[in-house]
Amino acid sequence: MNVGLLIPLIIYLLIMIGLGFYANRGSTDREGFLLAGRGLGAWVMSLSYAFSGMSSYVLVTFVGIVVVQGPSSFWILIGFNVGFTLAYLLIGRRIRNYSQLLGAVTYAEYYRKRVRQCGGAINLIVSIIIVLMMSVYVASQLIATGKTAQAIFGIPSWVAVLIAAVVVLVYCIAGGFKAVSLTDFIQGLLILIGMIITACILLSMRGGLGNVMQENIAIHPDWAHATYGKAGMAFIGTALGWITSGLSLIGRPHDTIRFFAIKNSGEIRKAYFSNMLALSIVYWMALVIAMAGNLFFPDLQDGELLFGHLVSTVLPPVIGGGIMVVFMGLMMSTIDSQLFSASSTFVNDVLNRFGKKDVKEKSDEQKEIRNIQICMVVVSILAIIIALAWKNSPVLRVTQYASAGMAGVFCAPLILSLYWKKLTGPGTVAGMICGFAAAVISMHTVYKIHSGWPVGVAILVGFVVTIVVSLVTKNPYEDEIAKELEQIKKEF
Amino acid sequence: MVGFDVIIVVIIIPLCFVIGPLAYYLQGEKKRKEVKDK
Repeated sequence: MNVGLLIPLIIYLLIMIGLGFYANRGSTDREGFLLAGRGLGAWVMSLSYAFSGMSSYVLVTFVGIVVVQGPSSFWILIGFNVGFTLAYLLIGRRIRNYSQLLGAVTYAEYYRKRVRQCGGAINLIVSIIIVLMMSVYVASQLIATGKTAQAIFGIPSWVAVLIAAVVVLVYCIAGGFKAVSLTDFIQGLLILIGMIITACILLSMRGGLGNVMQENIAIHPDWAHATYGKAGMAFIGTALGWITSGLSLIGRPHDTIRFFAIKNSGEIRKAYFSNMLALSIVYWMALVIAMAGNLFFPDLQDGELLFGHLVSTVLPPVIGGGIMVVFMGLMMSTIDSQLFSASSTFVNDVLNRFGKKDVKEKSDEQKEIRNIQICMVVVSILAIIIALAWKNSPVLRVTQYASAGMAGVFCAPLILSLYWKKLTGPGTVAGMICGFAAAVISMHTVYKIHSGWPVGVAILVGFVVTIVVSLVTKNPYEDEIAKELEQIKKEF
Repeated sequence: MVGFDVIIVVIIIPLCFVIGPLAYYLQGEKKRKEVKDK
């Protein structure tokens, strides 16, 4: 086992736990624990949003895709660019204002209070989907961790899975949403710095960017173009598939909840810019790392293992350890958000709701926080079991499953809830159920054409069903909602 | 030789998604200042 690689990693894990306890100070009441007291600044919000969305996907899956497809894989970034842009411009400001207007602190609570019909059904669907999909998502991150740690340290993947889960759990329990956001922000900065350094080192080892491109093109001539070696409709279908895949960023609960927590809606513009800047830098660097790294291991069978091999055999141990920290940062910044989202939803919207218990007093708040902490442990155990059972599954497939499911359930009702007064309870419920069903079915059908298509199909079905059912039913609170929709447009 | 399509997909389009939000942010700052001055 390489101690040089382990030392930076251990220091990093201890710092994350320390941050969790530091964040504990402002997280003693309900809104403080669940939404960091609605006081997140633009930079913390945007970096934590960007990196909770990026996950280990960048260094494991994306790098693996680059190894196979070369520069064509950048259509993935374009998809994310489109997804984030729509998320910020369509929902950012409005949901920040609306969640505060309604006094909603969780996702399910927002839908319930906004639609004002079929509260029990909406609550049940949102809660089940969040808890299930988040567990699957957390599991996909743990699988990525296990794969990489096995390649780097030669330790069994279950040991790495367990260590990662325990560290995230400790700081989430200690500091709540503030800890999640703060650690994501720090992790985001480390990721940016670490990836720039790694890309520069690899480029200098392989004689610069021009040389890396030339050598890769000599091995794979189709890398001279960004068209997947396809033409006409075949190319358009693949590129559109990746762009559609990026739409899954709209409405994902663990990401969108950050809009609830930003200090004020005027900060959204700054957050949007910093998010896009960080996103582009990380993907540019990942492309360079993958293309330069590919030259060291041209015969690698599983591209998802390239990053692990680079860290363990090519980079100097101290740099390799630092980069392992970056990888852990990417993975943990996603897990913590999902774990938190699943647990807070389950306690606030399932336990409290079905127990008919309103949180009114300080002692109730403390009890609720304790229940969320217990729930985090349960979700972690569930995710560990899934991760160990699916440890040989490709991370992309597991991630796409969760993404398509959540996009199908949340995207259409969320956007309509912010713009359309005629949205009704039955429409929301039907849209969510059909969107989810479409996601599951398309994961077993159109997924074979392109992994991004299930997201698009699920969103489309969600929109159509929500609109049609809302038009044939009636929401008696339409006038009240119309006034609220006017109020939430306010920016400054 | 790298094709022009690679330059567009890898550099120009992502750059547009950085410059666009920057312009949007700066416009917002101007707007915020105007609201404050009123």
